Amino acid sequence: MKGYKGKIIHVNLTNREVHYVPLSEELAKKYIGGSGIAAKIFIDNYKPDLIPFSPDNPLIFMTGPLAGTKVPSTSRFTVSALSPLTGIWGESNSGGYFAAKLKFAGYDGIIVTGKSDTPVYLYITPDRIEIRNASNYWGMDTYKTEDALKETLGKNVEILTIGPAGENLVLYASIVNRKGHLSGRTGMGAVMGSKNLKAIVVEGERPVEVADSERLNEILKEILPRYQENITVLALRDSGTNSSFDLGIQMGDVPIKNWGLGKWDKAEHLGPSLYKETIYREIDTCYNCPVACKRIIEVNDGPYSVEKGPGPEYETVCAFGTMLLVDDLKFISKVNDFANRMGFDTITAGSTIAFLMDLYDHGFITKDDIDGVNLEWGNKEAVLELVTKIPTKEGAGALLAEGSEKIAEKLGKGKEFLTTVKGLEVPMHDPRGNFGLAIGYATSVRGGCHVSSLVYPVTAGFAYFPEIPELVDFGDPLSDESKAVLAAKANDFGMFFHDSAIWCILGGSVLNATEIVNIFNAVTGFDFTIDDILEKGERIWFLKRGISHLFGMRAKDDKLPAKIITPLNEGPTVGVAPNADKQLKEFYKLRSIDSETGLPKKEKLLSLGLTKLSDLLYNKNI
Amino acid sequence: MAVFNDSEELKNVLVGFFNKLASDETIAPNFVKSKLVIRFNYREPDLSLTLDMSNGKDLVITVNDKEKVPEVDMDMKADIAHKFWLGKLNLTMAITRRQMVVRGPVPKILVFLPALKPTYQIYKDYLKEIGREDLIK
Repeated sequence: MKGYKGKIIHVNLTNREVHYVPLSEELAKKYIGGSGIAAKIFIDNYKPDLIPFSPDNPLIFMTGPLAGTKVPSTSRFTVSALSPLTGIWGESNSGGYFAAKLKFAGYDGIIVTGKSDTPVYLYITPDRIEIRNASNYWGMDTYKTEDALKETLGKNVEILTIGPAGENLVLYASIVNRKGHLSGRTGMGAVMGSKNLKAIVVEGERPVEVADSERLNEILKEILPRYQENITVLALRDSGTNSSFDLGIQMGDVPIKNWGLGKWDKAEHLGPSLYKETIYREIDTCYNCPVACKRIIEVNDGPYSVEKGPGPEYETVCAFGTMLLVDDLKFISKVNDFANRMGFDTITAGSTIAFLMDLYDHGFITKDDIDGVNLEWGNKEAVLELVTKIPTKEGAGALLAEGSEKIAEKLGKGKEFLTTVKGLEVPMHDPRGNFGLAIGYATSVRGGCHVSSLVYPVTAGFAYFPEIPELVDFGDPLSDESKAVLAAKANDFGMFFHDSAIWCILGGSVLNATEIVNIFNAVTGFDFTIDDILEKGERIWFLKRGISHLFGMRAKDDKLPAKIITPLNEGPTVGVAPNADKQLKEFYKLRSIDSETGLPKKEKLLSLGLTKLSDLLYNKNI
Repeated sequence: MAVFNDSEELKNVLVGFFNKLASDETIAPNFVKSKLVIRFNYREPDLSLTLDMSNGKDLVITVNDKEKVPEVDMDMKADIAHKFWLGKLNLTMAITRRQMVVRGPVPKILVFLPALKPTYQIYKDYLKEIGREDLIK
């Protein structure tokens, strides 16, 4: 078995013990890597009374077999745990440079359990694992921590760190590598903070062996030229993830005013042209990724000056731009810089502020509820004042640190303004312009998400897998027809492609399914077919969803919030919206899921070999 | 069945439409500031239309022009072009699936995209004006 290092580190921070867990060929073949293997580890160690900030909540960092190889856009990792934001299965997926370095150190992943009495960081090399004192770094932002640790340990290390938001248990705290590569979603940084784990530092130079380098070279020779020709890749290289902004506005993909408005004349101030003219400085990229979609920006003048550093992605431009009716890229850059430094997710943060703006607009809250701030649409100073209070939970920051759904629960009102699925604020892609996203969001295993299944990449059009008919022929984008079958297959393929093998959905978009399988086989030495990987993806999807069932998730949690499927009165999608219930009904039938409870049929779980999950869900004595 | 029966019908509809854009005081300035020369190479039926905006002032339309050298070339079936101007085409998907082949500098194309936003409604209005509501489905 090549590609893998065959070894996962387990660190218990309570008793400060370190041991190694073998990554067997059986485990690799069944659960691939990334959050597929993480989910298997989680269920094997499941404890019924687990809560997100319990020391027993395992925080699992996993790479895939391709990380550290010469395969482009695959040196990524996932981090998984029970999410403090959603209370169900949580995971986040990130590029950067950490995954490759962890493999070079000789490990496929790290499981962290327990809780240290004092702040610590892990120092990982091929020869030793040390739990070191991090008291000097506690309270530092992620940029300073990265710089300080590199100052002490040398430039040849890779670092994952949390910022003050993670330390203070902001429920959507992120984990940061090299200042601009974030595991942002579902609050994995808060789980890390709850363990008093400030950072993980890794060092190593041991290459990753591949099974058939000749075959791999042949395939790469064929595909590499595409990174210089593919229009999507060229657009990403030219203008980053925000390159799709103008098209998104034209197609009704971009949410405006907390999903309540179909068009906004000032949106053009947030597009790729102005981004390039005003804030852009340089291109940046992840390890071995020729796409290079990351942006380095700088703001020299005005009230929102930002030192040269990582710039806002498309999601942040929308979450703190169109969603709040703020048409100022320099302001958004300032917020983005702050969120990166403090370590929190901009999608949840921006959506939570948009939710509060809606509440304020409709008289559900007043200035008195939010530290005297006048939270009118577009009020940048108000947004900045609230944002700066999030990481320390000062004043209204304590409220904002909970995310929008918990705020609605606390207030006992305003749920009609939520944009969450299973507690996770949906990303910046509107199902009213692309009906498949409705079922994509509803059935995403971590809550509202556009990357864990492939519904979004396929329906947005930049990914194309002609070998899988369900991912090709899925009807009119503004009809409910064929969307359930699309989602089922997109979940299966996505669980393999994005979550477990771990390709970037952008960098991997130049490949078809056959090439993906061939590359995977050349690296690992396995002999999978497309059908094989779909079967493995299906198992992983049911496992992750099943884990969430163990924590109370049911059919009611698959419902979409009205706010994102209410027809708009203007704009490119005027008067239309998906019928999410109809799509769900078809989906449940396809998936052998009980439509009343949302639970999978026992036989389905057994047919996938998910015996322990079946026992836990159906045999209450266990 | 193809939307346009022959090249003449395609030419009449699209040249008329582009002329309308060229004379629109709001749209034309946003087009010409791109200074692009774009050639649309249509097939089924065959036709080539060149939009020359290189002087930054005028939008000049020529048919089956072999003299001008385009900066951006776009190849597609006429049906795809029609769907595009109706605003019903997913451009990214069409390019990925090679229903539309685009050659040219991507940065300039990205800058040009926002100018297209108002044209979809103008195309529908124009088809009504010339009595071709049958083409709006």
